[in-house]
Amino acid sequence: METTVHDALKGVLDPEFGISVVDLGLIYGIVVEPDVVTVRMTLTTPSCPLHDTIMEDVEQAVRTAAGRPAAIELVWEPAWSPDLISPEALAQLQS
Amino acid sequence: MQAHSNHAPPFSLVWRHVAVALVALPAALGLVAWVGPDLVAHPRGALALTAVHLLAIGWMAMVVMGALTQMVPVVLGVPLASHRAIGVSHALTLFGALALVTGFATGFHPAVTAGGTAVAVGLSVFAGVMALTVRRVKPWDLTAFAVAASLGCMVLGAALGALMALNFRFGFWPALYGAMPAHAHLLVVGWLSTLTAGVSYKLLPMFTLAYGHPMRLSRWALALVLGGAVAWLPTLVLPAAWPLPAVLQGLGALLYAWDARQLLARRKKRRLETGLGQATRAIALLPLIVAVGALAALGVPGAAGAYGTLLLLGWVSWTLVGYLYKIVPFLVWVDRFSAPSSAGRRPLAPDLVDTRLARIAGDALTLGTLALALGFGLGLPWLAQLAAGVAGLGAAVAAYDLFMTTQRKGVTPWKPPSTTPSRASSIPSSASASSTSA
Repeated sequence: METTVHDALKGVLDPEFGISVVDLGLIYGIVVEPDVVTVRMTLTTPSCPLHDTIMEDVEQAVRTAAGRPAAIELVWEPAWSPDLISPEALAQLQS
Repeated sequence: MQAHSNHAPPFSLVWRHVAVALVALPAALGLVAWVGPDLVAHPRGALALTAVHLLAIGWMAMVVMGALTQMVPVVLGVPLASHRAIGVSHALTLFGALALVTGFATGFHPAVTAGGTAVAVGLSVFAGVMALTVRRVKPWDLTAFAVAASLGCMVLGAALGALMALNFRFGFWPALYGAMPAHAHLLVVGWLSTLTAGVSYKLLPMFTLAYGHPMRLSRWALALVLGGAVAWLPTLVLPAAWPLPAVLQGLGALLYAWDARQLLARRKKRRLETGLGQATRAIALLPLIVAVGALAALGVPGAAGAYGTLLLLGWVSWTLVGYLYKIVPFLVWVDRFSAPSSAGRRPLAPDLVDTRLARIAGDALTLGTLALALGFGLGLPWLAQLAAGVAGLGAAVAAYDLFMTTQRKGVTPWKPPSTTPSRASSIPSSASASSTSA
């Protein structure tokens, strides 16, 4: 089920870069429990202007994929860094 | 500090500022194109004052007020202290700008006095709302400090301008006739430059994924720019003190240009969209502005006009146009496409603008500005007229493009390239809270 949720999150895109929250390295962990899916994640910056939109999209994607509500744990430690971007996404950014 | 996009103000509150600004920029450049020979012959005459104030208040002040209304709550993560007061400040500033430029153009002094006063009050109300808003930010970072300090310069510069407008009418302080450099630099350097440079330390990393830049030089650069702007104040009573502010702000500008270049070298997103490209062109222009400013300080004929053109139309306007190409699509995207129900039919925010038009606008503005500076510098009225026409055309194209961006409703949704297995996709099915993709 974690893989299903993870794949669903690959459909949640950052509308500025067109890269998924997974490939940007924003997803730190997924825990599936009987009544809730907990997603531990971060954002590229605490000032991210699309904070609410991305949170809502993640919640929606989890609910659709797992059929149960999502609990999003937004963390700033460890801080996001560009080193977390997947090689494919990095290639897309640098093309 | 945690930002929320629901702190964003209503679309209409921001757009009413931007819309006025997008009309004022082509109008000001059109005026320059129309009366170019007169401006070259009388750079401090009534028509020059008309064009400069249309540009400074109608374009720059309005776009900065709109941009701050949008960005401060979103980027700094605090709600605006009052939406209503922002509406009042917009109305006062707009009325004041119209009265001021009409007064300068017709020589009707009471309109200059009333307009200058209304603008000063309008900008002060705006600064008050922003000060109350920024006060809630914890902890303050360089950008919050720059916003607050720039607002202080705005109030000082606007107050000095209002005093000059009153003096224009009643003539109670002869020394104020020589206050033009202090007035102009407090606003253009202290307000607009401190603000745009300070905000760039948030926007450039955010839009280009340039993280890990050490901020030591950044703080020095902003301190020098700000110190230079404030150091113009003593020249009101001691005119011979002008070299100090000139040197400070020149050093600050060069240091900022160097520092911003270092920051951008870290970016992960290599290709800059047209808007950010225009903003980086503005940064690259700073060394030339410092050099021409030095020539103006040495009294080289024509250099003052070229310096003012490069500063106002080059550095400030290119930056503002560039950032508008990020702000307006973002506003439209959040307004039309951010709801979860829109998922699946969303464009990317940068795709909301017509990039071909954006490129034409940017290139025309760039070419027109440089040629206009040359026209003023060499005293060639025909070149100044032609260049202002080209720059005005560029501004009009940008205004049209950004206006059309606000009209976009149905657009082709963006789809990611076909996905290949990524490093992050290898999270095992037994992933737990302690497992991270990093």
